[in-house]
Amino acid sequence: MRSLMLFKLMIDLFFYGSIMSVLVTLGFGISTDSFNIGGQRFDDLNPTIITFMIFTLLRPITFFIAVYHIKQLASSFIKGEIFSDPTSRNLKMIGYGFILYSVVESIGEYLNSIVNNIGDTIMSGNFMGFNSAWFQFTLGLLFVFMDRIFQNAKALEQENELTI
Amino acid sequence: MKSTNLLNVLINVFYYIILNAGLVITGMLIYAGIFDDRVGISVGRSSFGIVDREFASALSPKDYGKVIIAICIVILFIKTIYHLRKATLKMIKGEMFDQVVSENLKWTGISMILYKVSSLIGNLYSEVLYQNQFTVGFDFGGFESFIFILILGLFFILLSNVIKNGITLKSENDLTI
Repeated sequence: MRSLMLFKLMIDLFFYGSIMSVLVTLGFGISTDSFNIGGQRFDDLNPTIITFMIFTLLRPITFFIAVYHIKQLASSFIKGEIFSDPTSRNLKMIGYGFILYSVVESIGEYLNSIVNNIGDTIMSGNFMGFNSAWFQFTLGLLFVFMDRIFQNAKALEQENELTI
Repeated sequence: MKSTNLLNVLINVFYYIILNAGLVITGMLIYAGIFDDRVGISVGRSSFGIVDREFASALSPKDYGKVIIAICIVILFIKTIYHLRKATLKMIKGEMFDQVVSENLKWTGISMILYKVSSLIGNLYSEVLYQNQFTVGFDFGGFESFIFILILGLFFILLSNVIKNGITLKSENDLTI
């Protein structure tokens, strides 16, 4: 129970800390007289830069979806609702969040290479480390799959209760 | 079913790619550490890069520390994916509430945490010994941030406990039948 509380504390700290850091970054970006993405300034706006901006904004949003559902899942576990509908729904949403994040990040990286003329970076062989899109996509699929396991366990639990 | 097959293919391809890449990188690092013949391989000094395209200068004692940390990081990453793959393949086979799944999920979490701790030590090592600086702070930079990987690692350990719970449920159910 203590480790669960620690886990919940960490996820809460990370969730609110990330939101604050994104808001501060966006605040700095908006306050400057030209458009600013991650410290990079753009004076003229063309469709590629606008798409790049959209994907840069989508990246933290998809990440927050996943982190928010991990937070919800931790709350369910603390309440003792282990094999329940909200738990499996949260697992599925974490999975979709990770999948979306990996797709958005890959497209964002590709657009970044076009905007900054740094050559083609899509699938550039970044496999080592948890930042690789491949790992994030696989992890996402695993969480979606885990939703089924939890539904299975829920059915088992109900059967058990009925027998008793 | 399609997503299960895709997961199966992805985890296998990813595992074998990183295993091969890991072997090549570890081999190069060991080669650099043992032979140190100033040909082609050097330890990146300013960043935590391990292979440099420039001709290498002789390795100093502090470079050896960095080589050892880099090898540990590669091994821990491969270990993480190895355990994740083992658990996933067992789950795909339909054996969800199994001791093997629970053990492998636990080791995935532990390896993930150890990987991140060693990469943090590596970064601090580089900063202190090569740049004479020391930075402390929270990193909220997405997937690779220390705190997020720590959370993910703890989450896998928690999931392994949940699977253990499921094993008990299943055995109770089987006994009743």
